[in-house]
Amino acid sequence: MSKPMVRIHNTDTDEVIDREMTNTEFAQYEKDQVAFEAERAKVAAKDKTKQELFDRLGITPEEAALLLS
Amino acid sequence: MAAGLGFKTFNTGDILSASDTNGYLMQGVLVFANAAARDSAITSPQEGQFAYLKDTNVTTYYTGSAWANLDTTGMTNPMTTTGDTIYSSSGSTPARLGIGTSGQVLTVSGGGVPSWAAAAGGGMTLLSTTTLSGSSTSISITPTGYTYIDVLIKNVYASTNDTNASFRLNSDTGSNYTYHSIRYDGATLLGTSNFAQTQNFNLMVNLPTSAAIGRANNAHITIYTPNATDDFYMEYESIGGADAQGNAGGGSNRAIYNASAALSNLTILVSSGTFSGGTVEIYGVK
Repeated sequence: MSKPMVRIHNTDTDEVIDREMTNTEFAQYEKDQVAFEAERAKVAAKDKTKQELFDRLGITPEEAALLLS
Repeated sequence: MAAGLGFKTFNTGDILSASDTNGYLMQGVLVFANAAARDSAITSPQEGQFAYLKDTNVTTYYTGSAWANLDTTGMTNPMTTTGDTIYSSSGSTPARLGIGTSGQVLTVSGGGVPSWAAAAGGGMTLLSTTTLSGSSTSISITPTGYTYIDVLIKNVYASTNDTNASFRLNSDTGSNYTYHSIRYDGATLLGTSNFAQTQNFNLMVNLPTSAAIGRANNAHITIYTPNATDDFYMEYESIGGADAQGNAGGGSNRAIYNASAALSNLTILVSSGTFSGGTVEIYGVK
């Protein structure tokens, strides 16, 4: 299976290379994907908690923003 | 001597009058042995009359109040090299200003004459323009000679909807990125993040799949200390196009990158799929 493509721009020579990731880059890419997914899950969990709080208080996000402004 | 009457075309059979002779034919360059002979012969000179003096080999003309020498010396071209320019030195003497070197600007030296010199500051130079592509796009940067680096990232969209974009410096995947972030969606403050330590800086969220969609993302990164070998102090912000309600979303961030070498590389990453478009312009600012 082919690895994702990356673009490398050497601005000293203005050479642009599009190539597949190296094994090292791909290993980092997979780590990044896990980190991106964890961040996404964290944000989603925070949003869910926030919405539950709004529901419990019976106010909308706009009303909450008004309270904090 | 009569005043010059200008130019007349004589036709066959015309009678040449004294007036025609004095007003037309005598208005050429009259030749005299010297100035004394000229003044003796022309007691009432008219403005614009010419007289050549054989003793000094000078052509003179009457200004309306005095005889003046016609300047036939011209200017000797002092230029020697492509790009040279000419300026007036003392006594209005033409002088050569040799071409400067690349990037120099024209200034005035203490002697009151122009010279080429390095820009004192404030200049902004476009170092590179790159189109985003692939899962990541890595751009080399040479910040030497610049006080800070400005990065403009425009109209970014990706192959997968609602993906995020982030950036990494010097290909560093260590936890050396700390920031404070304020995120908003139109008038709504979404939240803040305090000094999270990560392996990159989160730059944009919810990338669209087409530049035509209003929320194609744009960002601006300023790296204030790109030549430092410890911390880079930075600010960066992103903004998306307006949604159906006219609200623009984005984020504003202050950040520190714990560097171990001067800035050499900027990598823009997309969280899923590949970049389908977007342009990165890097400027060096003095």
